[in-house]
Amino acid sequence: VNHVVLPIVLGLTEGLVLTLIALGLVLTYGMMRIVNLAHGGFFMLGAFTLASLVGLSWARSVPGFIGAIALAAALQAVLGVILERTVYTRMYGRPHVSAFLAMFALMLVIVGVVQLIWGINARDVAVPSGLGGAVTVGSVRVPDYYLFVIAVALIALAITAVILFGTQIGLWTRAIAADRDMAAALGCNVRQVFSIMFGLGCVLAGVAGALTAPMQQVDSTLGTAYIIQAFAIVLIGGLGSLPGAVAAGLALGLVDAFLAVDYPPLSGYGIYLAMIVAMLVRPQGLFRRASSRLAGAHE
Amino acid sequence: MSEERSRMPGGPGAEVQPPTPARRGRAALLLRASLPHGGLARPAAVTILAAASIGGPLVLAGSAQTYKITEVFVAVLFAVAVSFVMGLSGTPAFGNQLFYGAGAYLVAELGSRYHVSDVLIYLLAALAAGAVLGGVVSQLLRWTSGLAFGMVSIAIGQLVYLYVYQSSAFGGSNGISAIPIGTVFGWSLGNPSTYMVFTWIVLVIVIAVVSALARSRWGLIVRAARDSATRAHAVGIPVFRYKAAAFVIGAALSSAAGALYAESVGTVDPSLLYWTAGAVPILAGLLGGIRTVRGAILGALILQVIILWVSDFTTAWIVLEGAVTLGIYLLWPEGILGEGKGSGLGTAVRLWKRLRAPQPPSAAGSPPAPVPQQAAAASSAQRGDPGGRPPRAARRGDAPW
Repeated sequence: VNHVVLPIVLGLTEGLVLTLIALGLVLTYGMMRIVNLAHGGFFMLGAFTLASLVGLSWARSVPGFIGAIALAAALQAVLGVILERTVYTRMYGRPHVSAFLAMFALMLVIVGVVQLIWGINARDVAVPSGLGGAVTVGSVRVPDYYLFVIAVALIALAITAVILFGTQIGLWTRAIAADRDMAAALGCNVRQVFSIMFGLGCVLAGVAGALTAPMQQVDSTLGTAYIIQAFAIVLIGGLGSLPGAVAAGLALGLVDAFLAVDYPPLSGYGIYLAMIVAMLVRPQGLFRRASSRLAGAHE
Repeated sequence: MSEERSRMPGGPGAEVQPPTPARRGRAALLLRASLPHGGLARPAAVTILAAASIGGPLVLAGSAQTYKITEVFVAVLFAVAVSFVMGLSGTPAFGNQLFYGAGAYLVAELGSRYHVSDVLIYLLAALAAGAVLGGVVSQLLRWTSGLAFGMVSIAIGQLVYLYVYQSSAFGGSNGISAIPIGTVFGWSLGNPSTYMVFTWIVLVIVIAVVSALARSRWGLIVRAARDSATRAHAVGIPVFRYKAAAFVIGAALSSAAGALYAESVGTVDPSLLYWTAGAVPILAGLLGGIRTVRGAILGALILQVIILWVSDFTTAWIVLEGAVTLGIYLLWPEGILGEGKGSGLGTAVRLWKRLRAPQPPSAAGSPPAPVPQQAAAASSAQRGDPGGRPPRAARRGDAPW
């Protein structure tokens, strides 16, 4: 049991966090055709915002902690929409490679701002008081907090799915991903949908960052470390594919967790190896046929 | 372009067959040689710049600035190497920190374990190791290109980073220190100023070689492969071979830059191999203009001034580094000194022309404005750009940039 339960919990935790980040990347690529390297910045800001909020007394209880997560995520939405309107809107339509690098420059700006506000020292964030315990399964103690992360991440995924597949704005989103000009011709306010969906991606990144904060040392390298793994997931799942990102995120999280428990020297390699294989097996497919695969609408 | 065409050697019959790359190159050379200032202005400018680039640092030699200036030279070398790959061949070399780190670790191993201290041996070994590694990675260009290749090279770089970070042979997360003080033929480079001059010499040689390569027939073919792989393939250019060759050269030069870095700092650690380390020289290219050597140099200089000097005054230097690059990119996608209209240089040339152009035709009797195409060809030739350039629209469509 030791070698099954723990890796599954760890893998789901890590995989779901990465999936939440990856979904934002998929949304921005599917609609706006930009590979948003700066997305890791919103993740990192989410973690730092939570780290600051936990310093306040009200955020130490479980409901308060959930409120803090929501607040951290909401701040990312505001920031995301502002950046989308000012910076990203000038990037649309530019060549992929150079826009990708410009995103790295934006990421540097965010890293710099984080260092200005929170300093360069790493922070440890305490787990809220009600979640410090552990559940015993067989002989394994599974920390409550990990189960909490899994639950919150699943709820966030479910809400995202409802927004994308059950609402008018979700319909427009999928329409824009499939054919932007046609959607615009049919009366869709593309600019507005862009902003809203960019904000949604930032919310997901903020939630992921806030959830990660108590599990990781929070410092300004967090963004670059996680974004590259989220990229791997997006590429493996097929750039532009929401179900693909979820499946790849969970699969890679689990693989990595099993490696970490059973054969620690290889932990961390799996994600990059899978990324290389994915890019070699389907080099163009990953970057060209993305539109029709957003949300698997046309399959 | 039309001007060049009209000056091409050969009678009426020659017009029938399209110019081969060789003939184009020769035609461009003839054109440049026949221009009155093309022959003198450029070498003069290069000489002045080269003199200034070592004269200024020599004034500061011996002070605390020496180390920083050496670091600037190394960073410029790295940026030139990376933009040689990305700008000339269009291959997104996102993972060149792999070669940079390999060169640095090679020097560390040679120096600390085998007690080699000759910097020329370091450089030759690093060039060879970089070329071999680059040769292996470049094979991936057979199956991928564009952003996909960039992602794969990041992934490979991260695999190596993880390995080095965990392995005891490379010192793990601490890296390797105690690299001996370098020598050249037994001469000690222990004085920081001497080493600074040494890196400067290496840098100047590399810039000269890279510029000559970019201008050569070979360079023109690589550009053709970059601008349209399909068309290049159709006229019989083995696209993969040329792109791979450019990648290998860039890898070898990146490795040499890493070697110089390791010798100047005396220690290496795994952060050299982290993927963000590979993005810094690319940002330099983005800032200055990645398609030109001058752009990479300027971009690296600006970024290094921010990283090494501005950081003394303010903790906001990272913000500045990102914001300057991002702002310039939004303003001029081709960078400050890049090619074409989308660069700062292009804007400056356009403004200069507008200032010097005769008044609009409302003023009767004023001479007609020059035909834009000819003017563009003349200006590109003056800037030492052989073979002219294809129209902007054609490049936009095919180029990965």
